[in-house]
Order: sequence, then C-alpha cells, then structure tokens
Amino acid sequence: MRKKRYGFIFFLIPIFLLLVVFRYYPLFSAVYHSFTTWNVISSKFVGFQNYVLLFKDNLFIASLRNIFIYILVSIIIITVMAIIGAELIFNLRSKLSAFWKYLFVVPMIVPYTVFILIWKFIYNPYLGILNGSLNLIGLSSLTQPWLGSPQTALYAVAFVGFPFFSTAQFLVILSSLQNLDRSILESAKLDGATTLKRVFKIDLPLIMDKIVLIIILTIIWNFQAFTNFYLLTFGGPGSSTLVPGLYLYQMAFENNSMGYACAIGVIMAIIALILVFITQKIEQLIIK
Amino acid sequence: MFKRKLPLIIVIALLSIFAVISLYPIFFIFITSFKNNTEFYGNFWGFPSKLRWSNYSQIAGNVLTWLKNSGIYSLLNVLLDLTIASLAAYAFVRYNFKYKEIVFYLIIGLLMMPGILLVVPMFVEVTKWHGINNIWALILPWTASDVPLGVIILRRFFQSEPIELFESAEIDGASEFRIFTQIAIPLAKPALTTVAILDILFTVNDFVWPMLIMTNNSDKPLAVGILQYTGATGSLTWGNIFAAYSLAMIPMIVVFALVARNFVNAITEGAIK
Amino acid sequence: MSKRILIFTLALGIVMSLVMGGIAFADQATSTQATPVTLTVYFERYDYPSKFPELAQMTENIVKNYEKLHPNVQIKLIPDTFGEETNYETWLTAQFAAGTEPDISWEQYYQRWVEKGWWIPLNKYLEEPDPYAAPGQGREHWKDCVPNFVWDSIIAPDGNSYTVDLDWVETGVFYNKEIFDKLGISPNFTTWDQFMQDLKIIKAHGYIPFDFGMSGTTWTPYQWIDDIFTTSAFADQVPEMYMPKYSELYKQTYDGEEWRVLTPEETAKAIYDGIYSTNNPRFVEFLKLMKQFSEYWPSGFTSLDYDSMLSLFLSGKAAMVWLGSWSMPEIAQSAPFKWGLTYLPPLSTEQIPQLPKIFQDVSFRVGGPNGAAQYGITIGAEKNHVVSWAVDFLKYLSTPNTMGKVAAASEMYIPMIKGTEVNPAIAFFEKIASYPTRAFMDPEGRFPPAIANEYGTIMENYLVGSINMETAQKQIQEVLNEYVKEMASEYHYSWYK
Repeated sequence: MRKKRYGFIFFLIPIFLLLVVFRYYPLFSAVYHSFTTWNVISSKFVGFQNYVLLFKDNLFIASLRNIFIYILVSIIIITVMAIIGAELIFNLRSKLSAFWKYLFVVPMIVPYTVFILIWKFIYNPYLGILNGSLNLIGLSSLTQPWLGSPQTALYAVAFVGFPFFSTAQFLVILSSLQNLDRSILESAKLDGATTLKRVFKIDLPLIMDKIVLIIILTIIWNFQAFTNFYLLTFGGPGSSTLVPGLYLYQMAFENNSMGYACAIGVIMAIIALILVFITQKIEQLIIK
Repeated sequence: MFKRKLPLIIVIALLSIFAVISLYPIFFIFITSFKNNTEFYGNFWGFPSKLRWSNYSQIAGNVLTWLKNSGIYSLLNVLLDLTIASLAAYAFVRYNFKYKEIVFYLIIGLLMMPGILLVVPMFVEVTKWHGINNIWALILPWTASDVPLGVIILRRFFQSEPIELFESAEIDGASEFRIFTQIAIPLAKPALTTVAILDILFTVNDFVWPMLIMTNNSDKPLAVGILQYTGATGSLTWGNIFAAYSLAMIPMIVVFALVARNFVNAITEGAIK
Repeated sequence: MSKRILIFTLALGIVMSLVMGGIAFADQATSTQATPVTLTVYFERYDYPSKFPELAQMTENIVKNYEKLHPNVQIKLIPDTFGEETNYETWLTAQFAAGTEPDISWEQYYQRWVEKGWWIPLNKYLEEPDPYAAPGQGREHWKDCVPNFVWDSIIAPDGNSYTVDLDWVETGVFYNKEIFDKLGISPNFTTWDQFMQDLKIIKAHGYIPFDFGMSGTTWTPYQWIDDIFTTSAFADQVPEMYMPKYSELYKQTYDGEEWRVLTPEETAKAIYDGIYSTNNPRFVEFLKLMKQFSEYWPSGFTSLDYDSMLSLFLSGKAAMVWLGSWSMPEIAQSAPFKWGLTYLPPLSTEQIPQLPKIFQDVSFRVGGPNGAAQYGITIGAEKNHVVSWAVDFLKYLSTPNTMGKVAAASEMYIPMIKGTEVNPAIAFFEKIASYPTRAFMDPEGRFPPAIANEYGTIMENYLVGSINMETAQKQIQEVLNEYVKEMASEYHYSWYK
C-alpha cells in the first residue's frame, strides 16, 4: 500500500499537460469573457450582467425547457434500444455476433451532415417517406409537417437516428455484455433460466454501471445538441425547438455577443455537471 | 451458447429490419453519387438514370488527398488518445488519493463545456504560437477533446476487470506500469476499440477546427475539403458531393472490417479465459 | 565678432536641418512608393476556384494587372472554400479574435449591426477621386461608381458606410410553365385579388401554390414578403419618416416624389414617433395580409430551408417559388420542366385602402445589397498600415472593366457599377430592378440580429397559429420599443428624449 501512494502522478501527468494547455486555458478564457461584453476585438468587464440578463432571457429559458424534454426522450429511447440491440446480438453465436456488430458499426461512418440531410427529407411533408408510407397504408390523416409543427418538431428531432443501434451507447453495452464472465451465464442456463429471465435477472444488474454510463453520456452529449437542430429546424417553428447549444451559436457567431455566449456556455456546463452528479447519486442509492 | 430455434428467427428478422434502416444512408450515398442535380431534386429517393462516373473523376484527385490526410490525422489522434486516456483511467482505478473524485470531475467536467465556445480562445492561443498549418496544432486539441470521454469509459471498464488478477501480479512483484501494460490493457480491448471508433468518428466529422488551422488545400482533412463542394450552384453538383462521401466511406468500411475481426479475437480470447 | 559667428552658425544650422528634413521627407515619400506592401483579400464567390473557375480566373487576372501597375504591392488571395456563409462567419470571427483578419474582406452589409469596430468607415475615401474610373463614373468622386440608392441601402446605424457594394441581387418568381398551362393560369398577374384566385385554383389541384421556406440562417424569402407587405401598408406615411439629413445625401425619387429606403435611424424614429407601430391600423393590414398569404405556403414551411424549397419546386410539387437571381443558373441547369420568371402583382386599395396611387400598378422590388461584391476594409489593414493601398485597390475594382465585368459574367448578380455592359441572360432581373424600391429593409437589415430573431420568432408563432393577432401585436410592439431604446442609447440620436 505504502509504495504506490504517489505512483498515480506518473499516470496522470500526460493527461494534465494536454488538458491544461488545450482545454483549461481556453476554458478560463471563456469563463473570464463571460463576465465581459466581448466583441472579439475588445472586451469590457461587466461583472455578472450577462448572467442576470440570461436569467431574464425568455428565449434561453425556453431553450432549457426544450432541451430537458429532448434529453428525457433521448435517454429513454436510446438506452432501451441500446440494450435491446446489444442483447439481440449478444445471444447469437460468436461468429454471427461479430457479423451483426460490424453491420451496425459501419453506418457510423456516414458523415453526420449527410445523415441529418437524409432524415430531413424523410420528414419532408411532401417528398418524405414518412408521410409517403403513412399515405400508402391508408393513414393519411396522420401525415403532418413533422419538423414544421410546434407540437411534433421537438420529438421528431429526438427520433432522428432510429433504431439507434449505430450509436456509441449501443457499442458500450454490447462490449460490456461481451466482457461478462461466461461461467455465470452458463450456470444460469444450466439452472433452466429462459433467455429473457437471464437478461433481466443477471445481465442487467451486472452491467448496470455501464447502463448508468450511457445515460450519463446521453445527458452530456444531447444537452449540447446543436448540429441536428441547426440543420433540421433552426430552432423553429417559433422557438419550439430552440436549444441552448443553438442559442449559444447564434449569440456567438451571428450576434457577435461572445461574452453572452460564454455565459451561456458556463451555465450549460454547470447544469450538465449537476445532472451528471444527480445521476451518479441515484446510481449509488440504487446499488444500496 | 444460447440457441433456441423459434426465437432465433424472430431475432434475425428484427435485426434485419433494423439493419436495413441503419444501413440505408450508406446505400443512399452510393446511389445519389451517380445523380445529377435534376435527379437529386426531382427524384430524391429513387435510382439514378445512369452511372455518371464523371461525378467521381471530377473530384477524385482532391478527395483522395483529403482522405489521406484524414487517415493520418485520425490515426495519430487515436494513438495519443488511447495512450493518455488509459494511463489516466488506470490511475483512478488502482490508486486512492486525496481529492481523487474531484480530480476526476475536473477531467470529465470538460465534457460539459460546449466545444464550439472553446474554439475561438484556442485559436487565439494557437495563433500566438504560430501554430497555423502545424499538424500538432491540429491534432492535440482534438486529443484534448477526446481524452475525457476515453477516461470516463475506460475507468468503468478497468473497474470491472477482476481485481484478483491485479493483486496477484502485485504480490508477484510486478510494477504498476507492468500490470497496466500486460493485464489491464489486453483485458480492455473491447473498450479500447470502442473508444478508438468514437475518436475516429469525431475527428473525421469535425470541420470547424481544421478549417481554422489548415489553410492549404493539400493539408485539409476530408470534412473541411468537402465543404467547398456543398451547395449545388456552379460547376459541381450534389452528385459530386456524394461521390466524395462514397470515396471517403470505402476505406472506413475496410478499417472497420479489420476492427471487427479484432472483436472476434477479443471474444474468443475471453471465452478461452 | 563672436556674435556674427553665432548668428552664422545658427543660420547654417537652420538651413541644414531644413535641407536634411527635406531630404528625409523626400526619402520617405519615395520609400513609401517603393515599400513592399501585402494585401490579403477575400473575394467570396468571385474567387471560388472549385465551383466557379471562370470567375476565379477573371478575378485573378484583375489582381495580376493591378500588381503590374504597382510592382511594390503583392495581393494574397484567400480563396472561398467555406461552402456555407456561416462557416465563413465562424472563420472570420476567429481571425479577428487572433488579429489575423484579412485587409479587405467580403461581408454582408447587415453585419454592420454587430461587427462594430471591425471595419473602417469609408466615408471620407468615397469623396476622393478614383483615378481608375471614367468621368461621371467615379473619376471625381469614388462614390459615383454606383447609383445613389446603393449607398442609401447599406448605411449603418451610425451613419457610416463600411462597404463598397458593387453588385446586387434581384428577385423573381420562378414558375412551372407546365403546371400553369395545365391549369390555364397566366403568369402575368394583374392584381392581388387575381393572384389570390390563381393560388386557390392551384391549391385545389393538389399543388403547392407558393413554395416558400423560413428555416435557415438569417435570410429566407420571408424577408422579402415582409418588405413588400410592410412597405405597401405604410407607403402613404413613409414620406413623413424621412429625415432631411439623409434625404440630402441620398436623394431619390419615384414618379417625381421622394422615395427611398429608410435608414436605421429613420426606422427607429418612426417607431419612436408612433408611426411604425403595431397600434397603427396599417400594421393590422400587414398582419392580415401575411396570414392570408400564408395559407398558400407549403405545409411545415418553418422547417423548409433553401434546399427543401428547391426540391419542392424542381420535383414538380410546387407551382411557384420566389428566389433570387443567384438561383437562376441552378434552376436552369436542373429543372426537368419548362419554367419561366414572373413577379408578384402590386397590392391594391382592396387590401390597402390608403395605398398611394403611384404604387397601385407596380410592385416593389426587394433586391438588394446581398451580392458577392460587398467589400470592406478591416482594422487589420489599419494595424498593418496598408489602408491607403486597400482603398486604392478597391477603387481599381470599382470600374466596369474590372469587377463590373466579373459580376456581369456571373449571371447570378447584377453589376451596379455604372457603365457595365448588361448581360442579356439576366435581362428579367434588370427589368425588376427598375421597379420602385421597398422602403423597409429586410428584417435582418432593418433590425440587429437579436431583435430580428425575436421579430422572426413572433411572426412564425403567429403564422403557424401558436399565438393570435393581438398577442403578436403586443409582442412585436415590445420588440420595436426595445429596438428604439437600444439604438438610441448606443448612437445618441438627437431626437430621442
């Protein structure tokens, strides 16, 4: 115990060198500028003014409401689909398993902008295959402008990427299943457990820490969601799909209110940290 | 292994449906690459009327250069990231030190900050050090963005590795570093491949940072180079853009096939153990 | 004796220092001539080698010729490889942050709202002679190279001109000839009522009558519709909004009466005076017109962007689409059907009872300074001490044979430089350019981005039915008041109490 008290420093030096230079320095710059009005070429210190304005900013508050709904929906869909997909593949023979895993990993190479473009056209009210299929099977009454209607737009964006098998979350769950000790699973089979029972009674509890991990990752990533909203709805109709990431971008590069944008970023980071913290606390409670 | 006749059919059917949906974009990119603008706008979902190979030849020269660049940049980034992140993750699992969790949060807390916001201050910093067009000025910030994710994933995977292996090696007199390289890393192959895949995907898709750092056409990675083709006015069409994406996907498909073979090895290795 | 020596020495000293100073000064003058100077220039679309190689070649030749004329000047071109305008904006922001901005760069005129301090005011240079221009086209005063109304349109809220605007975009309604023929509709819309009837017929036959999208960064055709309706509704009161100081600078008329675009200060004052106000019944007319017209827009228009608009039209689902001159090459290249160009009909006293007679049989044009030849000089040029050369280079570009020719060859933009030969391919747009101008700029040019965003959001909510007219009026009035307060506090307008 005594001899390795300080060994950790050796392991942590590379990462901290890298992070201090390329993350902390710009981070402090951004945090500093959140207390200024920064026009990129000149800045004026204004204390907490940006934060006070944010607190009263209706658009920002609307964006927070939107992102919380979006995250909630995403967590549910992505986690459930990741588990379903991973279990489906995991239960096949190893050769088949590898084939299907490869099949679902390959779509991840599709450039994100193309992926979004395709989904944008899927949702197109006139040319898209979603409405087209609904018309074909006689459900024309359900057709709508998915991205253009305030009631559906946010959920439509959250649904982009179905079946969500080609995601990092899916990979993590599948890898963690494949890491499980075979002997436990074998003995369960010998005890006569059905696959479904095994999944719920053994697999899930064993990989619960990874499930929490993918929930945390979903929270972190989707909280900052920007490109998909930018390309699909640009915050519309009205402000029904405005999210903090998009709002930040508008403030930074269209409005040239870089200081305000930095304040938005800081608030976003704080909220994300709180969410992750809460998730981990819940995890610890469940473990007990 | 778990084989039941009836459910197997259902499983395969479900997987097939979902695979078709998931793979459709790749198919779409290939068939669209042969279209001209009229067909792109007028017949978005259908097949092209003929195979316009000119869409490819018009852009092949540039695209192959950009692809080569993307490959080099991604490879360097992945190597750096896996090394640095796994070293750090290992420290959190095998050591207990004061403020360990706070230090951990300091690292993963960086994930919470929207990346686009850090771009401008980082650019100012890098310009001051004459980093424009420097390959490390391009790659290191990427690595810095990737390592927190690597640490968070790898820490959990190291944690789930059997601690007895580590402890028995320790008793046998091995240094922590040896335990790290000879036990922890090999066991974490699936996790490492996952992190590697995510890294590659991130660097290949990011265009903002390389747009600022690499100003010469011959240094640009694909994501930036292809920007100048977007928007279909002028001498290039949507067909050209999708031809560029098709060319880009082919090496990726090959690389991932190799990686998939690694998956099989990792699984069989695990079974033998 | 010593006194005389003293005086002599003193005189000698004075003479010598004068001579030395004179020589030094002459040295400086000649050495300034010979000092090597580098200008970094971003031309946007006119130097976009991968997409517009011929235009890029023309531009490069112009640059080479200038370098031949002035061997000490080297011009470094930054080619356009950005694709989307927003990528360029990100890049430009980063450059200014790091102090590596180009000396001359393209920028949309409305970015003046926010990019304060980035650009050098050009007012005093515009009064200077342009040695490269012909008499009457800039030789005496550089600003004569383009018509007066160009300067009027791009004036910033502080009264300065920050760009030289050498080309324009004009707009037109592209229509599907086959659909029109099939339904027996004539593209020459006579009155607004007739137009509405035609739209109804088109809709009844299952086509999208008026293809239109509102999604995407800043510009969408919504801006134009807003211009036309607002201008028409307030046309009779616009002359009251003019302030003498701007009228003197940019005198323009239509049919003998003064008629020009309202400057930002005039817009603010109009709000302050309660004329441009949602309580004015004209605003209600404006909102009603919008709502009525929106029924013929595609479903889900708030999520349709430029590409979606094009697909709806080019796939034959929409009968008409309102786009700009820059879209013509694309449509010409891609349309699988016969197409034509037309324009919106004028409104009438049916919709706007107080519409002045002179505007009852002609529509407003909404084209404007959004072209590729909007060039400004950055503060980077000031830091590099190359402003005088940047000015000289811009003067060189402001002639019919330089950027005039390039703009004409583009077939996407209308060259504004006097004396440029017209390209017959864009004859239609030249015709539209002769219509009276809108008085209200595009919302993105009427208001700063944050306010334009708020305004656009409220209009979207109103048009999709999320809020009713009274709520829209209330919210828009708040936005207008916010605008006046912001403008007045920043620019200290004299009329604001």
